[in-house]
Amino acid sequence: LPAADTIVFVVDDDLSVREALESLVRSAGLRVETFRSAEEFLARRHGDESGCLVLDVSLPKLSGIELQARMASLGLDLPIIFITGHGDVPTTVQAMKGGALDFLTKPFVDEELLDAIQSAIARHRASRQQRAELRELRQRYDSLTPREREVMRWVVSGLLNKQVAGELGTSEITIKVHRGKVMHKMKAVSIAELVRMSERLGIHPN
Amino acid sequence: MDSPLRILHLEDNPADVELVQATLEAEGIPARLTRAETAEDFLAALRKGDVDLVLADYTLPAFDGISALMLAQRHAPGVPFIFVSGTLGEDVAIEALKLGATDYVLKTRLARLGPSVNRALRETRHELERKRAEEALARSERELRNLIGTIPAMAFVALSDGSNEFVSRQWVDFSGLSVKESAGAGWSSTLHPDDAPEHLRKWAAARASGEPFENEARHRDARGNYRWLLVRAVPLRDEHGNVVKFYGTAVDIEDRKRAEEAYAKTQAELAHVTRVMTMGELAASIAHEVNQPLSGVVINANTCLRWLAATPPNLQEATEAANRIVRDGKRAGDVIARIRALATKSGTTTERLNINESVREVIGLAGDELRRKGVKWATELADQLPDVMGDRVQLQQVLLNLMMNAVDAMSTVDSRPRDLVIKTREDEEGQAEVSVCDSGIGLNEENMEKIFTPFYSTKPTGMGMGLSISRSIVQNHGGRLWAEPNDGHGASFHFTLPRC
Repeated sequence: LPAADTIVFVVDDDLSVREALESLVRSAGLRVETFRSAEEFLARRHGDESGCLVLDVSLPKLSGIELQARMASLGLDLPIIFITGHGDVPTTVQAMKGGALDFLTKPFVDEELLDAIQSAIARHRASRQQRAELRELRQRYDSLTPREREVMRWVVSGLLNKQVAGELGTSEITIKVHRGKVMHKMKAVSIAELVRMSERLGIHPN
Repeated sequence: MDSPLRILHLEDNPADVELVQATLEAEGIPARLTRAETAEDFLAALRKGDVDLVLADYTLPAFDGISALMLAQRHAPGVPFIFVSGTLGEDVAIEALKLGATDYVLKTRLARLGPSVNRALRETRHELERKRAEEALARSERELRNLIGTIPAMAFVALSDGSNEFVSRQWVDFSGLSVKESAGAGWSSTLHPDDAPEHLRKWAAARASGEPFENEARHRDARGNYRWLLVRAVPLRDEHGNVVKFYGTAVDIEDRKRAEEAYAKTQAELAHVTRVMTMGELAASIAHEVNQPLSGVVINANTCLRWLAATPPNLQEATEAANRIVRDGKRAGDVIARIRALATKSGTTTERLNINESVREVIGLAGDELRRKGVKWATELADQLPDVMGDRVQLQQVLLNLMMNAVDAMSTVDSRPRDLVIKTREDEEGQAEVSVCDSGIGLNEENMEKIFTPFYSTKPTGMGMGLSISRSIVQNHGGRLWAEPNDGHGASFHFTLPRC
């Protein structure tokens, strides 16, 4: 079961659809919040909650596609599942290009939507976790001294301590000390792990 | 100077004639006497015709006064006839007067002759004048009747109690009822049973109030066919202002009615065609409006099953979902009913309605179309709006037409928002006013009125009927439809409907 801070947001101006979705999502054991308009949804304070947004394409004022763009510019990161009464190709393409996870045409059956919601939530959680890990890695990397970063770059390039010492014009023992500090600060148990970390941090080997 | 009085004197004694002449001259009555002694002479003189007065002896050797009186009455009617006789008693005098003699003067009392002649002439003159007046009256009546006979309308006169006193020949020809049969309330037997109560009620009301009467009602003609007549009557009052009579006309308007009906039918068919065309344009929007509640139904049904399948089953949630299915199903049905009403070819049905509701209903059908065309809409509906009497479907058609026109007018507008505002208010005259305002390309002076003429369209695909039909619908409701350019961009269309 998803964590308690997981919320499914539903934005649809139609009462029938809104109420139906609200109950459906609850029946899957998920928390749900419904909104009549994009404006109402934006007016809610958004913290760090995870979940997804079920969004009607055609809303009276700010449309679903416009809300998608607005969220991107606000840095509001929630996977979006679009729902629409009539799927027209240009709108679908635009929504998917904007990063929508799915695009469902009404009427859809429960499983279609719930599956989409579950996978959106999983995806959101995974990406949040990845981002958290990356943030953590970045912090570790930031704690390295310039010399240590230099040593790390040569190490992940596959050079031996002696070779690194030659490249940096210092002793092998000094490199060994630096290398130990890098492994410790980066919390890497092996060179192989340090290589993966550098890849994720986007550090290019020499 | 008066010409001498021409007197025919039936007298066997010439001396008496001279005596009479002298007596009259003494009285200042110049006379020229012609004496007759026999029936033949008398008749011949009468036939000549130049007799102003007849004097006659009662008893003559070869003739008698009574026979002379009879002849005079036959051949010179109106000429005074005075017996001048010597004998005879009262009873004979009375008999003579009864038979038509003007007077009776005894020869023994000839002094009475002058005054008697004067009186007779006076009476004759009066009689003549009366006759002339009567003739003039009869002639003018005849002329009036002839005149009435030439008017292409039936005419009648009714007394203040409503009973008929006179009908013209046209009515007799039309109804096959004689003047006598039409008299009193006889005419009302020709009224169509459906029209009679209303017609008679209005007629009674007009008589009670003394107001002019006007009504259209079907009357049965001589061949048994009912035809529409426009009946009007105006009161004639005496010097005290009391209604004495009503003068009225009835005009056969059957042909006009038929034309009106045919026109109304054509118009209704045209309205229906354009309505169906509009709905064709709105098909996607309408589909959306049905699809929304149907989506609700499908999701709720799934959800209901999920709550029931849960362990333990959540009956309260399942019940709520089932209730929503009922509500949404009904909502879809309502939309369909609305569409069916618009699509059905039906006669006009007038009912009391609130135009705000009509606005909401129409937005319910066209809302998605607006969204699709990138139009942002808003409504400003007055809380206190007078109800109107009207045909729900026709008024929805007008609203739809104005809204779709607004959408079209904004379709090429990209440099500013496409805004549609629908307002209702009670105007200064207490009527309900609806305004549809857009931010489109607007109207210029040239096409401001042209747009209301049939087959005029500013759109490449337009049939040019929408506004002309909308205007006639509004006018049939007793209202007005007009257009105005906005201060900024676009145009506003307004229509009023009288309160009921």
